[in-house]
Amino acid sequence: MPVHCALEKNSLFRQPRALMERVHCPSCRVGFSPSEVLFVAEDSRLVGDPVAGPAQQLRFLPTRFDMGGAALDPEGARCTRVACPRCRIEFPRAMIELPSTFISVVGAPGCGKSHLLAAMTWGLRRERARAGACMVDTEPKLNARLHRDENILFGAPDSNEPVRLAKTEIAGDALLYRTVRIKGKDETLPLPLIFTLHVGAGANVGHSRSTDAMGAKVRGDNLDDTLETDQSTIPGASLVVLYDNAGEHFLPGADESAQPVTRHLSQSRAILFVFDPTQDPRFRAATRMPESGGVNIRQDLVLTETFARVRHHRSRHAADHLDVPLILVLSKADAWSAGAKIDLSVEPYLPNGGLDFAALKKMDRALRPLLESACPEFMTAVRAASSRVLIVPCSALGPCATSIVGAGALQGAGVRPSEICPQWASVALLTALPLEVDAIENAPLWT
Amino acid sequence: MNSELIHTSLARGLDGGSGYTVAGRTGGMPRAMSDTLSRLSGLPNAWSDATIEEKILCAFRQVECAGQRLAVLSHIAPSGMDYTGRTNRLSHHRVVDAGAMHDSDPAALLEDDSLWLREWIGAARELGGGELPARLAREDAPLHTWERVFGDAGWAASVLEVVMKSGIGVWLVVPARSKKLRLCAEMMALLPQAQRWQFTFATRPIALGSDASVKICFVDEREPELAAQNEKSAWILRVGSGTMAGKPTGALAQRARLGHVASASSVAQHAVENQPRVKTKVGDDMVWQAPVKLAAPTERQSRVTGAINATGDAAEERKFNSSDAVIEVRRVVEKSASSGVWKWFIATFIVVGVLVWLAMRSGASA
Repeated sequence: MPVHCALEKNSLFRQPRALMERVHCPSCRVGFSPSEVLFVAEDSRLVGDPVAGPAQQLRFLPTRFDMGGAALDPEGARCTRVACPRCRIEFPRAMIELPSTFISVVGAPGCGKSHLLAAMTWGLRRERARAGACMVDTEPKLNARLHRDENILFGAPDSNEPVRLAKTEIAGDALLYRTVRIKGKDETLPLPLIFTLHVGAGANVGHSRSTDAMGAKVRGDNLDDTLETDQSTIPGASLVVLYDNAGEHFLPGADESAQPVTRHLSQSRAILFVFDPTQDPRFRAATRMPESGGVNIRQDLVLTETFARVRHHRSRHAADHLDVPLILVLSKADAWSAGAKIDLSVEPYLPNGGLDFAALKKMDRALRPLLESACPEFMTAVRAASSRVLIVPCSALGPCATSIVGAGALQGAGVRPSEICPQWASVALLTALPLEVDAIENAPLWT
Repeated sequence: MNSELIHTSLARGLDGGSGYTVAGRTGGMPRAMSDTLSRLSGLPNAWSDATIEEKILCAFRQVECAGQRLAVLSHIAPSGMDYTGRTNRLSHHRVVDAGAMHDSDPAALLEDDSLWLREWIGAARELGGGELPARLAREDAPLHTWERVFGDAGWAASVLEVVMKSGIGVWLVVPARSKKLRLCAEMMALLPQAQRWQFTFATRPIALGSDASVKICFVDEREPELAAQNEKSAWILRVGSGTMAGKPTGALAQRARLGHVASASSVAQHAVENQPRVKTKVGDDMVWQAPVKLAAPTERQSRVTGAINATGDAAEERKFNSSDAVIEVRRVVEKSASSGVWKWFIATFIVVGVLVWLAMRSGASA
């Protein structure tokens, strides 16, 4: 074998990995270059970090690397995990290698954000071919909170035992928030949910990779090298960063410097605003829903507050027009779809995979007059918020998942996992994904 | 006055919001204090089959608020369903002032169920406030819960020593279905009353390193957050392994096993007397000193104790003290005599004398 071929095959002489020029921390949103990224020490003796906390492994800027390019901690252990140089919260290494899209899920307390998130991610994990995109955890450990919710709803061992998701805490949940000490001051930051997304050709990534690998095997090439090269050149691969806040965080006056848990709005590529029609008395009346002591919440104020924060944190002038895509997700559609005369039994996917923009547009047009007549103040707030609005209905649990009450009052209500059948749950997220946003833009869907 | 705040899920809170919000607070409470207490109100997720009692978080924390250090007792418990039909919790916080600290200790106050709300009825409203009743754990009782849970009550002394020496706080892993608040209250009984208000604790996991963190968390072995941590971490204590492998020894361990009254020997008496006095004012910088390093009583101390006990007369005590002072002076003189000072003094005297004699002699000859 010629020397230059041997050199090319050696990992030491490979082309350097392409890195992003600038990365934004998904927790504290500070921007930094990949060279500033801190590594997380692996040696068990290096416990305690002045910012991340005494129970966390030390974060350090590496000066020594092994032959494979991994950092070595002061005790010589090989380190691969990385952390933000400011808040020192760990994030996936893929964030410095792939572009990231931040998507915020916003809504009033009790509107169904957590149920929707669990249902939409579960749907995208399962319906790769139909949705034309596939989503996998970038680092499963960092999405532990979502896994917990998915397991409760879709992975219960006894599918007839009623289950329910707990109300999202505003603080104190270690899977949702992390408190760090920055410049001697405690700051509670949100922990995001991060996925690797393959759209279009990448949706069949498993198939194409295995086909290429077979070809490489036939040619007698090194299979491992081929796989690694393929992984770095997957077309359409990017990261999706989602946030699940408690609804209380979006109420007016809840944006605190000691707990800046909604500052991700400043980076969001799109905002999913979960509007719960069952919390609006006029919408309930318009769709002939039974009045069984329903809750009434001014969701227009939540929307206005959200976009005021977007404006503040992006340092935009009060007169500037925001063009952040706003996907208005009308949740709990199983309760009101019959009254609104819409049919969610057919999901808006094309036969070959991907979103059916015509079906989306039709649904948007069907729902807009209803909202205009039942909740005019909310639609006024919507028009003031963004010039790109799309209305998507969804039901995270489905029409058959009727709420049942447990044995005692403290047991609470729940639904049987066997009856859960989400409708249009993944559609809302798909419309917010980067390639889809652009495609919808071209398809003049936004109104 | 002691202040209190209730934080739970309501359709409309005291400050106008819905969802988790302030349901009640003492009238006139500053907004900063209200916000600080609200931030302490979260209840960590428990394991799937945890009972309601096992989900309750009782904590005593010292938090910074507008330049002040607040002593906060928190009782956070599941509270049925909220107005949306979802699970709810109710957080009841009490800010304890210095006056209440003289007659109570934090664990005993938290053990009194009558002081803590479990359910909020009606609309959000301001509360009247008022004084806390005196609640104090007995110092002289053996630690039966520790004995039952860990097989030896002496472990309480070992844990206490580790906790007080640790700069960052620790998590103590306790077996399933242990009464964590009782364990804490019993351990606290080993401390002098004033020091108990320096001993922050929680009965569920709380992240270390923040203002709101505590010196010890009693963590059930089934806690999901425990599974997420590195089991070998030095701050996770397991009785009988790691730093706590050795059997507990010492006077404090003995006191934990037998109780104060049962061991009314001179050694136990000495242990109590030797415990350092601390200032009771909140915010003072108090340094804990382990009360377990006990020297055997000296002969003189025994004589003193014996003499006082024999006569019980104050005059006799004063007389004894004056004679004791004479003995002390004589001992100092004897000590000086036995040292080399006198030798140097004599040598200097001889040298000076010789010099004077030589000077006088030379003067006479001249």
